[in-house]
Amino acid sequence: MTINRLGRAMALKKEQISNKTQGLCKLVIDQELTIYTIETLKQGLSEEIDLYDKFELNLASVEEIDSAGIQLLLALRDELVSRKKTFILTALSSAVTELIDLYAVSDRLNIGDAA
Amino acid sequence: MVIVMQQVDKSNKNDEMLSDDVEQYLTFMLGGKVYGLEILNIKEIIEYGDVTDVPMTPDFISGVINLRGSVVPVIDMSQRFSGKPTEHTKRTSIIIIEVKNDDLIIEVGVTVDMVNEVLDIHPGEIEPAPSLGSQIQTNFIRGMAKVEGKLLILLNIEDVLSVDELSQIGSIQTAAK
Amino acid sequence: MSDDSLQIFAEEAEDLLGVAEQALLNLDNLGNDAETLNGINGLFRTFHTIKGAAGLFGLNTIVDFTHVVESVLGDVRKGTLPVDEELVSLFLLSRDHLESLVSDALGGAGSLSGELQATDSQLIGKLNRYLGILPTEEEAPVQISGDTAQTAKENVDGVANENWHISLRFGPSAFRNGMDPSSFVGYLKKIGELKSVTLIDDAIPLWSDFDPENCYLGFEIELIALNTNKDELEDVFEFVKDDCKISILPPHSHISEYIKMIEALPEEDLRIGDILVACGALTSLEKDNMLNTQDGFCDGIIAGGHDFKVPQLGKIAVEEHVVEQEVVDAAIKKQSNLKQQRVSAQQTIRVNALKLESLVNLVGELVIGSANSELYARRLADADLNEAMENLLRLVEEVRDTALGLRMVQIGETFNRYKRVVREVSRDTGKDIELHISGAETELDKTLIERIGDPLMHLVRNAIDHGIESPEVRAERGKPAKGLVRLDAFHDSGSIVIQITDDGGGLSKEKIRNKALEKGLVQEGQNLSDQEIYRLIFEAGFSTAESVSNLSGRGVGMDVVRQNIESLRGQVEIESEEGKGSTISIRLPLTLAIIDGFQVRVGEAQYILPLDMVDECIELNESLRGGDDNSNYINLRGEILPYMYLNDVFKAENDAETNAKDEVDDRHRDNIVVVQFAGKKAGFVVDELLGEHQTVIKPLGKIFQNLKGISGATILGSGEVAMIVDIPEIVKRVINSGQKQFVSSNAIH
Repeated sequence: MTINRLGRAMALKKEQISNKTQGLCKLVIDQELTIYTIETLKQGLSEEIDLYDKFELNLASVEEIDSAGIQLLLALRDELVSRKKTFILTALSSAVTELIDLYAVSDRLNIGDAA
Repeated sequence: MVIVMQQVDKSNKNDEMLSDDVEQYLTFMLGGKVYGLEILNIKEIIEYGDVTDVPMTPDFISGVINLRGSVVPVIDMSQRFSGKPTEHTKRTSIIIIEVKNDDLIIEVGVTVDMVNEVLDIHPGEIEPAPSLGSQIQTNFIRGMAKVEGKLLILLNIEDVLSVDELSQIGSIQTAAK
Repeated sequence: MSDDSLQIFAEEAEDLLGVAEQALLNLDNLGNDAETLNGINGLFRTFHTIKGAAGLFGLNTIVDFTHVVESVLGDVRKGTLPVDEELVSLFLLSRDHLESLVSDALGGAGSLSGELQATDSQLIGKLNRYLGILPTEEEAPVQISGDTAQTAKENVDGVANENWHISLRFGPSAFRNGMDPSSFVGYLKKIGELKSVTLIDDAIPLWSDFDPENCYLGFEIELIALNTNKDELEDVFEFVKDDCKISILPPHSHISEYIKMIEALPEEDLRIGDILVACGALTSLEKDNMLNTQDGFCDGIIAGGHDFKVPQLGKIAVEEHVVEQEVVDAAIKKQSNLKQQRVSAQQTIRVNALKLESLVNLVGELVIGSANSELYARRLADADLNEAMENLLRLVEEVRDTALGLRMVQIGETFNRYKRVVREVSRDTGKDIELHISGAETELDKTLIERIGDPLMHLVRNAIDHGIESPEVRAERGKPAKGLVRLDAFHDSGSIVIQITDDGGGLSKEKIRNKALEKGLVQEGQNLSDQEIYRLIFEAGFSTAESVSNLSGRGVGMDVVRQNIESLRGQVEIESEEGKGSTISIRLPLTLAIIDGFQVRVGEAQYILPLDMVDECIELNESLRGGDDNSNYINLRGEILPYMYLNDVFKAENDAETNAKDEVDDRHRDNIVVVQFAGKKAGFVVDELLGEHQTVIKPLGKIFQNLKGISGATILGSGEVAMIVDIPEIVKRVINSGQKQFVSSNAIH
């Protein structure tokens, strides 16, 4: 299977409120969080994690998520925790909730309210 | 087999300032008359030679040639038009033409006495084929054109090389005898 | 999931459905209970695998439907539901329906068409009736699975956990291969209740090394499922087994199995132990005991100097007197069987037919190219070059045979399709018919097999419908009530022969002749040989069936059958004896691409004869001709052999004689090539024998499609085109012309 990376726009958007001085980065993923977009997403996130200390990831518009998506969230959490940064998932779409429930990983992913 | 003219240069078209609807024709000699074939259907022109006879076929089928690994039939135009076989000289050539048949493109070679040149002809210069007085079947003729004072017979290649008609040869042969 | 994986699913499902069909058809013939049970088990497994795979793709219609079929099969397996013909038919219909569902899924239609939906509910209704009538509460009296037996035994010493424990570690390429663990985990919900799912993410590397397209995930799952067995669970993971390490432990598994599993897992033993406790697979006490036992066991091995390092599961179990030896043996045997199946599955690769085709075409060009090189090498007369050339040619020949061999497939699978036809047609016509198949392993080119399928189908239907008589008529004629249809395939001098034989009424020459007269196909008083009369049934618009049945007898078909066969350069022949039966023989060339040819020269032209049909070459001298120049026969070691000048064969009959006379003087050094086809021999006179030639068949194209006597063209080493002689057609002409002469010379005397 070839993975189509073409024709898929950047799935990661940084909200304007993101504020360097406070070190808070608000990110919105508004496309699918699957094997098809995962590489782009990782690159997008990699660009941000050095710059901020706190991350909020809004997943309200993620209509599709697969295990690769969950894996990315877990990897991101590990990375940020090891660098003493914080990471919160703010809004979850029903697709995301469903998979997080199936895998029973809600306590590993910090789910909370936006700052 | 030596290729005389690698590929008729179809890009010539744009060289001169002519109106868009100009059509290009390859002219050739056959039994002393000048004929023209629209260039779009022509794939290449090769020197006559190494034609293998296919037994039990009518005389207007010269045989087949090996065109870079494909076996391509060769039609003797002179035989088809007038029943007289082409006399083979140094100038005898085979024009390879692509003919459409049910979505398939079939390559067919035709023998001609001599290839002349490529001419630009405006559709306005083309007159309908005369219904009488022609030596060849009227449906073979697409029209007539006068170029530099000479009369040019433009051929209707779909009918001259109608695959459906040519493929009847097996049955024609048996029926005729 | 991607279309690619869906395509693979569809292909595998198709294979499985093919297996199911054969198994169902076999059920009809199985007398003995053990075999029937075996067959049912196989079917159960087959349907189950399809269900499992469909589940992974979220093809719920297929899952739901297969589930019902499986439940009915389950009852049959338990012995609570007897198998009868009606039930087998229902299963066959269900199988067909599944086939439609699979192709529907492949088509990507979101919901079923009205027709499919109707069939779906209708079949489910019928299947449910079987489930409804019979008590379903009863537990299975017979335990088939060795695992289950083992489980029962181990209840005593096993862990307290009454759930299934499933441990999964996906390989890095799982995502890329289109697998999503969530489909598997989600699918388990269909089998039972997920008590707990623990995602193991220990393998995820540091962010900088993290490749998000790699899969690093693992799972420890507790499943509450009473009515399942290990096979069923293993089947869930059938599609992912290459991409995933899987351990499935039944409820109350022995502690040794957990040890084995833990040892196989990549994580630290203690960590896994804790996970297992956390997810409820083990109690802490069990965990501690286990880790102790494990250490002790390994110490024991090291101390005792045993020459095996990894204790086999069976060994531990037996040593601890948990399982009886035969149970272990059975399980091991089963496992090794499974392993073998897997090995044989790995030995075949699916290859795109187009790739194969282009390979064969390239090999064709290679053959032509090497012939060309050989020609130049010979001219140079350099000994070393020629020797090298010879080696090369031998290799090219091997490459050619291997490449052509890739396209060769056994005809058996095609033959098997007709079992179903025979079953159905005999039911529809009320005839009892047995189908005998021989030569199923005979190989021929895949293209040929594909294109011969329909004509064969027609001939088989015809044999049943028109050939075999009704049971009453058979009784009157003193024949056994059961009619016999035979399908045979075998190789015969460069051809493959497929025969359809029936022991039915045979062809009535009288009826055929009358019908042909009526249709104007023959003239009154025309003298026809038996063969010629039989061949009339292949004429367009000919049909002798007195009543038009819904199967055949519409008069279309037989002429299409003949055309199809002839378009494959094949021949069809009929033998028949009225009252006793008929045999239709189809002769096909082995391949459509490259043949061994025999090159000859006639005048300036070179021709190729298929070598397989060339019997021998002899010099034509006066003694052979018997001094009679006008005779068309020679005496070949006491046998009469009709012959003709190849040149004359190709000339129209009218001018043949004049030509023959012109050249009569040169004839003293002519050679006769003796060819044979379908048991008939004939000779052609040629000017020169040029020897063997690897012949790549080039089609002559549409313009020559009606040409008889030439079957194609090829390109010689010199680049010239040579015609390939259509021996079957030419033999016919030589024999006909011989007969004419024979008749006319008799008339003179």
